Amino acid sequence: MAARHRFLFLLAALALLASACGSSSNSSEEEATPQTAPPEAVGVVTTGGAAQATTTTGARKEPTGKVVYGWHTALTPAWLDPQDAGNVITAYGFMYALHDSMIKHYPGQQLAPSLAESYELADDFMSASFVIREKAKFHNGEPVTADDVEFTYQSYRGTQAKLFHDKLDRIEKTDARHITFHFKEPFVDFLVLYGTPATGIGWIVPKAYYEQVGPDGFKQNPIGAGPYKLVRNTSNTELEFEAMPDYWRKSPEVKTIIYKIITDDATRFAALQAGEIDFMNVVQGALLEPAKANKDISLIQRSTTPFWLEFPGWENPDSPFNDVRVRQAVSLALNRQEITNAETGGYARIDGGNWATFDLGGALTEDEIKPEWYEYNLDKAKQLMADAGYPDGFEVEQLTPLAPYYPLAERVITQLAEIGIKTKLNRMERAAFVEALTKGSEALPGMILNISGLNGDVATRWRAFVLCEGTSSRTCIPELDAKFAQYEASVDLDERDRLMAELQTEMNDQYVFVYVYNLGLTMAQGPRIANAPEEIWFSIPQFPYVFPWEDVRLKS
Amino acid sequence: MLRYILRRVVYSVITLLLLSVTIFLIVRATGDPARTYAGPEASEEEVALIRAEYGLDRPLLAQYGSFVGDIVTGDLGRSFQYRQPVLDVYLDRLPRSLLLASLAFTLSLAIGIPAGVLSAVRSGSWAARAFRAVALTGVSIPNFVIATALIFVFSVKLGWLPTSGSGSAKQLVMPTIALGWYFAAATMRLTQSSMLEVMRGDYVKLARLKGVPERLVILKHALKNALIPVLTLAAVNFVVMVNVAVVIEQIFAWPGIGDLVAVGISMRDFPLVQGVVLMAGAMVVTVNFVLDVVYAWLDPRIRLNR
Repeated sequence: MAARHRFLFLLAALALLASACGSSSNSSEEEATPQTAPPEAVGVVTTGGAAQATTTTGARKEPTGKVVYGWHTALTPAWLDPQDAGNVITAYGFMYALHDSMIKHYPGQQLAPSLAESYELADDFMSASFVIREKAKFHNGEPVTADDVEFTYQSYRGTQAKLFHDKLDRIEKTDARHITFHFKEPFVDFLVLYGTPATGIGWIVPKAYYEQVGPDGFKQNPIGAGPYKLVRNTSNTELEFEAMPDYWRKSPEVKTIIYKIITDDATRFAALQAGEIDFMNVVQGALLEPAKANKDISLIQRSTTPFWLEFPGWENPDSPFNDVRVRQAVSLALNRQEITNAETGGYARIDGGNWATFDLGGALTEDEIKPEWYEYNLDKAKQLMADAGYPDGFEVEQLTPLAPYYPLAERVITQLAEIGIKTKLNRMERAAFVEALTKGSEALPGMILNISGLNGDVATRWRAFVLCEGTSSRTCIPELDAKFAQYEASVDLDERDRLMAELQTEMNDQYVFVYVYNLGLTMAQGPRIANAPEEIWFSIPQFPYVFPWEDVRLKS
Repeated sequence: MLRYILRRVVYSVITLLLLSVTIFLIVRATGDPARTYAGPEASEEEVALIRAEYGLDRPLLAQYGSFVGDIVTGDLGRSFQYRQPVLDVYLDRLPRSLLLASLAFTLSLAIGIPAGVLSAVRSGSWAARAFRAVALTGVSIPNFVIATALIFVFSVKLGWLPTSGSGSAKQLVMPTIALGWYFAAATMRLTQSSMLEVMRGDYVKLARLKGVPERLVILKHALKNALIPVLTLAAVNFVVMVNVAVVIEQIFAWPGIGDLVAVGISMRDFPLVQGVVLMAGAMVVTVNFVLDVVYAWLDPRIRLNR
C-alpha cells in the first residue's frame, strides 16, 4: 500500500490492531461482536485501546472537585443539539462533554467505536452495521437504543443532512442494540462524515425526550449520553456540567465542569492568572509573553489549518495571474518564516506547503509535499516575473482577507511589493466577505487571503473550494473536476487515494492556491490540573479543545 | 395638554417607524442574512432552507410588513442562534443590564453633579479640582483601558475582586466603576454649564439680595432648576448604559444586553440585532416622550409654544 493517508481503512485497521492488542476481555463485547463477519464485511471495528476504558476495575472512585473552562466565543444553544450541527468545530467543544457519538476519535485511536461497541462497513459501501454498547445510557437513565440511533439519523437537520438522507435506502433494526443503515448507492465517505466532526449525525439524541420537548426545547435543556450532564445554563454565558459516574467508558474524575464564556482575551487571561479558571482557550498576541513567563501556567501550542492566497479570475487570459509563473512568483516571494515570527512568535508550522491540513484524511503526507511549494526565493521570484513579461511587476486591485486577519494581509502585501506586485488592503466586514465568497470570482477581484475550518477530509474541502460548482469556489479547472468525478465514482480505496494525491499535487504545482502558513493556536491550563497538556489538548485530529473530559484530573 | 400629548405620541410613533425601516434595511444591506448565517461552505439548499424558515425568500416589502405587524403584537422575531423568541432572550438579559446600569448611573450622578456644581460655584477650590480631575479622567481614558486596569490591579495583583461574571455583589464593583465613570464627565460638564446659566438668573440674584444664605441659594434655587437638562441627559445615558454597554459587558463577561448585541453581530444573528436595536430605540423614544410630557406639565410655556 502506498505511503499515503488511507484514512478510512488504515484507521479501521489500526483500531482492529489496537483491539487485538488490547487486554479487553469484556465478555459482553465479545458476545456482541459478530463471531463471523459476513462475507461482505471489510472490517469489524471493536472497542480497544484508548477508547476502551482506561480502567474501571475495583471500587469506583466518585468524581470530586470542580474545573472552570474559560471559553473564548459566545455560545449558541444550537451547539448543544447535534441535530443542528453546523460545520463549526467550536460547537464540539461542548458536545464532547455533553453528548456521545456512535464512532469518534480517541487519543491514539481514530474512528473508534464509542456508543457503538463495534461497527462494520460493507466492502461494497452499501451498508453500515452497528452494535450499541450495553452500558450506553442517556443522562435520564434510559438506555441508548437502535430506535434512538434511527431517530437521530432520520431527523438530523445539520450540515450534510441532505446527503445522508439522499443516500439512505432503509434502516434495519434487529433488536434494541443492532442497527444497520442500507444505502441506495456506495457511500464511501460514510465513516468520515459519520464519525468525525464533519457532521453531527452520529451523535445520538434520546428519541422519546427529543420528541417530547421538540428541537427548541431540547436546546434549552439538552439530554445527552456523554460523560457530563448539563445542570445549569445561565443566559448561555455560564454552563455547569455534572459528572455521570455511570458513563460507559469510565467514571469522570472531576465532578463539576463550568464553562465560563469570557470573550475578551485579556480578561480570560487575567482569570487564569487569578486562578478563577483552569483551562483557557486561545492565548494570543501580547498575552503570549506573560503567559510563557508565568510558571503556574502550562501552555500548549499547535499549528492547525493553513491560510492560502487565491486569485479570483486567474483563468481569464487577461489576468496577470493566468501565467503559472506569476502565481509561483507570488509563492516564492512570501517569507513565511518572517510571517510566522511576527504572527505567532515563530512556532506555527511553515513546512506544510499544502492548502489542506495534515490531519485531514487524504491530505498529502510530509514526504509528498514538494519544498518548492513553500520555498522563499526572491531572486527566483523576480526572474519568473520577468520571464512572464512583468519585470517591473503590476498593480492588483486589492487583497481581501477574511476578517480579522488584516495584519497578516498587510505583511503579505508588503512582501509582494518586493517583486513589484502592488496592491492595497481591502477590509471587509466578515458577513459581507462571507457572502461575497459565494458569488464567484467577480465579487472579490484581485487576491483573497482565506482560511477554512471545514471538517471531514480533503475531499470535503475539495468539493467546497475547488470544484467549478463548489459552494465556496472561485476557480474552475475542468480537468481537475473530471478527475475528482472519477474519485467520487470509485469504490476502490487505492484508486481514490491515488486520485486524491494526484489532484492535490496538480493543484499545488499550478499554484492555484498559494500556501501562506498554518494558523497557530496556543491553549493554556492552570496549576490545579494534573494532566500534562498533551494528554487533553489537541489530543485527536481536527479538535483543538479539551478532550476526553472523563480523563481530566485535578491535583490532590 | 391633551393635544400636546397626542402630538408627542404621533411624533414618537413616526420616530419608531423610521427607526424600524432603518434597522430593517441596514441589517439587510450588509449581505444576505441567510447566507451569512449559513457560512460560505453551506450549500444552496441549506441556505434556501434558512431563507424559507425565516421568511427571507419573500419580497422585501412583504418582509417589512410582517416585521412591523409582528412588532405590534410583541413578536420581535426568532433568534437564529438562540432558537428562542428575541423578546425572551432580551428579557432574560434585561434585569442584569438594569442592575448594572442603575449602579453605574448612580455613580455617574454621584460624581458628575457635585463636580459640576463645585466647578460652577467654587471653581478654584481643591474639592472642585479633585472632582473635575476624577470626572475628566473617566472620559479621557477609554473605558476598556479603565476596565483592564481595574482587573489587573484588583483581580490579578490584589485578588480582591473576581475578574468577570455575574451573580455576586463583588462582580458588580468593577463594571459599575468602568461604566459609570465614563458618564460622570458628561454629567459634570452639563451640570456646570447649566448652573452657571442659572446662577445668572434674576431669581438667584433676588434670593441673594434677600439675604438667603449662599448654600441655600445654590442648592434650593439654582440647582433645582439647573438639574432639568442634566436629568434629561442622564435619562438618555441610562438607556445607553442599559442597551449598549457592549465593551464593558464583554470585558467583564457580564451577561447583559450589550453583550447580547455583540453576540448578535458576531454570529450574524440579524433577528436578534434587529430586535435589540429596536428595543433600545423604543426605550429612548419612550424616555423622551415621558420627559416631554413632564416638562410640559411643569412648565406650561413648553406646551403652549409648541
